[in-house]
Amino acid sequence: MTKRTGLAVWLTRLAWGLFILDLLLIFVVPADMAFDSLVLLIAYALWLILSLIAASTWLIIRYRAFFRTWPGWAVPLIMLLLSSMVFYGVLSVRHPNVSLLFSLLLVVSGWSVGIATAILVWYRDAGLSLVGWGLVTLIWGLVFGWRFQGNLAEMWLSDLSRLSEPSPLWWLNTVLCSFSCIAPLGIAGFLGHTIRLIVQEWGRDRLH
Amino acid sequence: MKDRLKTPYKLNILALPNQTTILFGLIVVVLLGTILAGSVGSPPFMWPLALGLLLLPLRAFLAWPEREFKKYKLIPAGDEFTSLVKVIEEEAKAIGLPRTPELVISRGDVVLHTMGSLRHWYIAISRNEALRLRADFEDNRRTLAVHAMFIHELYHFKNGDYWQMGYAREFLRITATFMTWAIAFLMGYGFFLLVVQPDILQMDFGRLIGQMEGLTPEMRELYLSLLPSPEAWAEVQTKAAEVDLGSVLYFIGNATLPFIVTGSILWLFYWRKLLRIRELYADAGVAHTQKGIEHWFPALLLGSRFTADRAGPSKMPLLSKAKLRIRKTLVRVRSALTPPTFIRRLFSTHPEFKRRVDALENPALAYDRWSVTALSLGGLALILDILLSTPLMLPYHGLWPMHFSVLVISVVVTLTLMTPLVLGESAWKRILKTVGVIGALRFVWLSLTIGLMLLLLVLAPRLLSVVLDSAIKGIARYAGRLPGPIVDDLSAFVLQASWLNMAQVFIIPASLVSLIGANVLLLRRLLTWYSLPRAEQRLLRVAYGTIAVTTTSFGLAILVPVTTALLRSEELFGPTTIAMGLVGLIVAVVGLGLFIYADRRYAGRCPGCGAHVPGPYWLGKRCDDCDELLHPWMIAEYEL
Repeated sequence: MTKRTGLAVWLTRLAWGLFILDLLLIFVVPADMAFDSLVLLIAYALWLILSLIAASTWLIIRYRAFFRTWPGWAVPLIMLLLSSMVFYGVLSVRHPNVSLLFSLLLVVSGWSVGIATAILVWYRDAGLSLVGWGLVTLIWGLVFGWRFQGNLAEMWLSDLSRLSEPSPLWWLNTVLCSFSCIAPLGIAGFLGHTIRLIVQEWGRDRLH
Repeated sequence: MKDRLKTPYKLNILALPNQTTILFGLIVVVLLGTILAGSVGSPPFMWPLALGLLLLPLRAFLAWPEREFKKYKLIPAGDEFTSLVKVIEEEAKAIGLPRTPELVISRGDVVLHTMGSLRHWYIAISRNEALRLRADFEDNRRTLAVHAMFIHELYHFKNGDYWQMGYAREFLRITATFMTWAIAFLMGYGFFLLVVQPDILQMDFGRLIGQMEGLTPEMRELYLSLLPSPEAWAEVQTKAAEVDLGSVLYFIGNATLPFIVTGSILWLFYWRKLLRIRELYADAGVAHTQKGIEHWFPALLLGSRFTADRAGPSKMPLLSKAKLRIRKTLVRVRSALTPPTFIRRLFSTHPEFKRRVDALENPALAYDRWSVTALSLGGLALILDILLSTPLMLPYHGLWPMHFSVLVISVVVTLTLMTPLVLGESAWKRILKTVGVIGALRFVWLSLTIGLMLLLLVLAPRLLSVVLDSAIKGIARYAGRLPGPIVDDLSAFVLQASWLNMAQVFIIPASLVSLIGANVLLLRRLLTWYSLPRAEQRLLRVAYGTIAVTTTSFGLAILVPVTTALLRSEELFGPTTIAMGLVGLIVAVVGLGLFIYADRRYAGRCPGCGAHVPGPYWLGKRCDDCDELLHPWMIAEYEL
């Protein structure tokens, strides 16, 4: 086993370990536990968020063979959609620990969509298609949203002052969050692949 | 004349304008040229569109080998195929390729084919086929047949058709994808405007911010500063109220659908024709290199299975009576569903064996008959007319409606006339017949539209008014911003439209005959430049330059004033028209001066003895004094 592979295995074990530890913390520590100080509370929340983000980032990179496929890329997107439904009160979850899990999942899956998109556009020359069809999804989402939910601009502005209440715009936030990852990464991927193709074309090396 | 036509010499089609290149140029010009033309004075999104459609296919073309490597899991040929690699190296050098294509092998089922980007060339083959070829190569009776197969593939690189085919395919694919995307997005945008319009007209940001709970005055100020100012918002509301959404949607359909339809026609017919024709040129390459076709024909007939005679007879499994009946029925259904031969020929990507043999026996047959050329060009001219009347192109087309059709068609017809000129045939009859068919197609189309318009004017003037209003709104770039009825005097409008269009029916053929005639005269003369040094390399370039100069000067010095006089007579003596006419005249005078200067030096002079050679050139013509064969490079030397 080379040094590099050894490090990768070690990091993967660490990431899975962090996941299990965080899940234990989420379900073992009562969600409404009174912390002695605000600093401790913030430190606890930050630990959960950062460790989950770090672990998910590494695991997506480690299992990139799966995440560079379209079904693999869709996994964090579905997670984002699901956690968004729970977070914005579309799906009701009564248990506070489960609710905490989904709140954390919203942040982690939002980040994971970015990482998975980066992996996808790194391996596949699909940046422009992603941005293009993402725009189509966004505009038609707005059309149907406006048609069936009413004035989205008004609803969005009024939601700003009622962040803790259930929002009918949960889907829009999910779409906007995904698209804000897809747009810059898609364009960067397109430019990156273009540069790679040009360098490859004018380089001496063969393709293989 | 008849003796000349019965010349025993075979025409070297590789020395004449390549039809594959002409078809490639047509495909690209029809789609890309129209978009570039539409970029003149158009809304800002036209430039990115034109640039995108130019560069994205190039990018996709550069990625072509990479995609093929992934798709067929190709790997470089190993040591076991060294003999085949050596054949490729040897033949690539012999035919003068600047680089040697690499042999790549797939374990899957891949038919022998060429692919590559600008600087990386490959010949792909399945492993089984490569093994069979290697076995054939080791059999002395078949060694040259293996060479012939690879020479054929190498000529796809030599003729440049591999990149033309690759670029044209990506170009058509990307145009179709882009236009589908544009329809999906712009339709969504149109519907979005439709659903938000009532809310936008009533929306008051100040009131909304005021209704928000729990905001400090500072936060309210911050939110208001982030939103559009009341003046800007009032302007948006005014524009929103003006927009006629039906017209916007009509505009979107009008702007995008013609590209999809035209792209589909080009892909279905012209691109397939390109694929068929390139094979004839590669066949000619084999005949030239091997000085015969006796090794190529068996390889062509049996394809990759030309070692099949070594394999034992295949064992047919015993079928039950019921299965046999089903199979017979299936065969009958299949033969009943098989389209007629001429339709299959139209959509096939390879020419039939007989056509290949005929084209090698008489290379002039590789070129289409005049009627086929006339119909395909006339059809293309109609497509151009329809395409140029879309909202995206109208700002350009409205100014110069005849330029595109006249100039593009004249160049293509002139290039196809090079063959009869070289064979010593009369070109005038062909010009008149070809232009006649092109003009007739246009006349039929215009007669139908104008006839319908006149019929409606007499029978249902109100309906005609509605149709014209919606049509003009649909093709106007500012759809929905045209207040009131557009056409005041219906009769005057119909008469003016009929007169302008009918005038074009006569002006365009007259322009085509003049321009093509001038080109033919110059090219016929050019073919007598026997003393031109390195004529085999330079004569065709001079021909292209001559066509370019005459076309440019005709477009500027004649078409510009004629179009201006017809459409905007008040601008006829304006500075732009005069400047364009002058530039055209200068180009013509300088070009003609250079042509006359070179003509005096090289025309009608035998390169062997320097004696005067009278009359026009024809294939196989010799000097009367020293019997030197003139332009020997125009002749293909091989045995059938």
